[in-house]
Formats: sequence, C-alpha cells, structure tokens
Amino acid sequence: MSSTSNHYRLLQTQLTHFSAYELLRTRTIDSSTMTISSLQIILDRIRPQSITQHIWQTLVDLIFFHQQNSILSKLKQQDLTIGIDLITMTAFYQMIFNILDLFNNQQNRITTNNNDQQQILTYEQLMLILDACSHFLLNTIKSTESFNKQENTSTIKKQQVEIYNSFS
Amino acid sequence: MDDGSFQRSTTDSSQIPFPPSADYHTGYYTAKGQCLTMLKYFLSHSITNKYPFTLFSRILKLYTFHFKTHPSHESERRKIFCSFLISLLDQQESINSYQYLTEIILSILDASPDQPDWLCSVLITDDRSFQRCLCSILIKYLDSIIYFEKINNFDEYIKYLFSIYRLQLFIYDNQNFHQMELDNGQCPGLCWLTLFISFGQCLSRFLFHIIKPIIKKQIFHLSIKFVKILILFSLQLQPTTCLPQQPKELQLYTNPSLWHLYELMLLYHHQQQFNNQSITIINKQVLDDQLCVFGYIHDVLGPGNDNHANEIR
Repeated sequence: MSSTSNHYRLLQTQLTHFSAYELLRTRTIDSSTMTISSLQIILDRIRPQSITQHIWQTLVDLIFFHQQNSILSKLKQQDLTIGIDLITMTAFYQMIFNILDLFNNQQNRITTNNNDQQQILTYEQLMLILDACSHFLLNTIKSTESFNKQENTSTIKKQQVEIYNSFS
Repeated sequence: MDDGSFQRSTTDSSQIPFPPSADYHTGYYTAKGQCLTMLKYFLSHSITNKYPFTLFSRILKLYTFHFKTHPSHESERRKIFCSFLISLLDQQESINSYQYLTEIILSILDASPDQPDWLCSVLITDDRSFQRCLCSILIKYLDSIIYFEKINNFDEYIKYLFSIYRLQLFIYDNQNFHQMELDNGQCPGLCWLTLFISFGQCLSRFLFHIIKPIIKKQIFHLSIKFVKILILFSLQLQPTTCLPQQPKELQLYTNPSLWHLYELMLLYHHQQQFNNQSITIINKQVLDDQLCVFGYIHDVLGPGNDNHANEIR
C-alpha cells in the first residue's frame, strides 16, 4: 500500500470523530499560559494566505456537509445538530473575543511602554483569523438559511418528505 | 481530560441529549454578547486607535453579519444597529476617508432599515443628546467632494457615489420610505430631497471636470440611473408595476438645481452620438433607460427654458 493512500485512510477515519467544536475550543498548549484554539494554530501555520481560504472551505465542507447531502437526512438531523452547534458557536464567539482581547491588550502595552516589545499577534494574523471567522459564519448560517428557505418555500418538497417519512 | 467532547461529532449527534441544558444556552449568549461588545468597541475606537481600514472593514463585516441574518424580525436590534452606524459616520470627520463611509453605508443597507425614522432624526445615545440624520451627514461629505480643488481618488469617490445610489434605490423599493412626504419641509423628507439634489450636483461636477473617458462614461451611466430613480420617485410610480400609487406628484426631478446636470448629460450624449464607435453594441436596458430619462429631461429643459435648450445645441 502506498503512503498516500495510507494518509488518505487516516484522514477518513479521523474525520468521523471530528467536530467543529474541537477546532474552535480554546486550550492551553505547552507551557504557554495563553489559551488558544486549534483553529488559530492551524491558521497560524498555514502559508501562504491563499491556501488558507481553500483549506478553510474544505474544513467547513467536511464538517458540515460530509454526510449524505439529501434533504431528508438533513431534516432528520436538524433538531439534533442544534445542540452541537450551540457548543461550537459558543467556542467560536469565545475565540473571537479572546483574540480581539489579546490584540487590544497588546496594542495598549505597545502604546504605553515605549519599549520595543515583540508583537505576539500581528495585524496580518489577526486579519487572517477574522477572514476565516467571516467565512465560517457565512457558510454555517448560509447552509441553515438556504435549507430553511427550501423548507419554507417549497411546500411540494416538504410534502414529499413527509410522505417519505411516513414510509420509512 | 475534558468530557470526551471529541466524540461529539455530527455523526454521533444522535447520542446527544436534546434539548441542551440551560447552561449551554446561557454560555452561548454570554459568549456571543461579549464578542459583539468587543467588535463594537473595535469599531468605535478604530480611529482613535489608528487601526488600518482593512481591519475596520473586516470587523464591520463580522459585526454586520449579526444584524442581517433575520431581516424580517428583530427590528429593535436592527434599529439600534443603524443608529450606531450613523454615529460612526458622524465620527469619521477627522479622517475624511470615503472608503469608511462606503463600507458603513453598505452595512446600513444590509441591516435593511424598516422606517424612515431609523435613518433620520436619530438620537445618538451620547452625553450630548442631539439628533442626527443620515442624509445630512452624507450631504456634508458629498459637498466636500464638490469643493475639492483637485480630485485624485476617483475610485473611492465613485464607490461612495454608487453606495449612495444603492441607498436611493433601497428607499425607492421600500413602501414605508416611498410614502414619505419629501416636500413637507421636515426631516425625514426634506433631508432626502436635499440628498437627491446634492448627489445630482456632485455628479454634474464630475461629469464636467473629468476628462478620462472610462470614468466619464461610468459617471454618465450612474447619472442616467439616478435620474431615472428620481423620475420614478417624483411620479410616485410603483417599483414593480410602474403604475401610479398615489395621485400626488412630487416635482423632484424638475428642481432647477438639477438642470445643469441634465445639460451635461445631454451634451455628453450628443458627443457620444458623433462618435460612431460607441454605437456598436448597446445594452437594451441601458438604451431604454436613456430614452426614458432623456424624454423627461427634454421636457424639463424645453418649454420656457429656451436659453438652456439653445446652450446645448
């Protein structure tokens, strides 16, 4: 077996246990006292910038769309996925808050002490994270929005689903 | 070790007890509230902290997102958001950057204001409690473009003008705004009329001073679109059917302050007709708009205004 297929298999098996929450949960890493999420680390280490968007898109797709794409399966999951979404979104908002707080404190320290302190978080990094956050928000909300729209506008589809449900 | 949350994937979600406990909800709303407050703090302190525009625009995008997800409800939240944005616009004086203005106007449009009083006579929740009007702020910036001796940042200005055009389009599409009495001499109403006129004057200045053909063409097309909206608004025609919805006509487009713009538009149009190359492929919609607009403009400039008509020929 080639090494590439091995990697592929590894990725597949991990993904079944993968949650968006894990990506966004803040954690303390190494001896650092700063709490940081996996997402921040990932974004931090991926270069160049253009790749980040692609990887991020792929992650979002995998997390939220890797299961069967049929409307039926989504309908069945809908009430169940809210629970995980709430935890994920809490972590998401905490992450934005933490990162902005960190940046703000850092800027204040720079302006008050004129010492050349090292910038932990640069503008570029901050903007990269904010872009990813917008992307995340846009994709997750959009997915539920378009889904709800489908559900509301297309009564025929809804009826079909109901019929389908009664058979299953 | 945490509570084995790695198993909480979407595939395993069937095992999660539902509905989630109240703690999850409290945690979520606390985190979201804190985050939004932080975003708002960054926006209001963007200038004093000398943050670059790119950071401002990203944070504004992220913040705006939370006010456009449910356009049909949460009107109180969206209203507060609008007044916050107007207070931001009011602060921009010091930097005088039209990029900021454009972004803020687009955010206002995203929040899709329900009523005219969301944008006009807005109480800025500040220690100095006085009213602000979106139109009067926008007019101030439009007027300063008019008086700029040397215009060097065309792109920024044109984007600003387009965002104001989108705002005018928005109020035209919104019934509540449409029923606003523009000629009653009060705000909201009079301010929108003043915005129309200032906008027209700014366009005429650009049309007069700009030499670069591509930009001039852009401005001309924007002028056509703008005058069309103005005519439709004046005749109080319904956006979709173009049937009159009110017996009253507002004589907006006939305002003498706009005649100069009309003359310049006709002049440009005549010049273009002499240039055979421009009559190659013309978009039908553009052509229709032009025919409609020129029909009305001729009427305005024509009878009793012979000197104006002669100037053009």
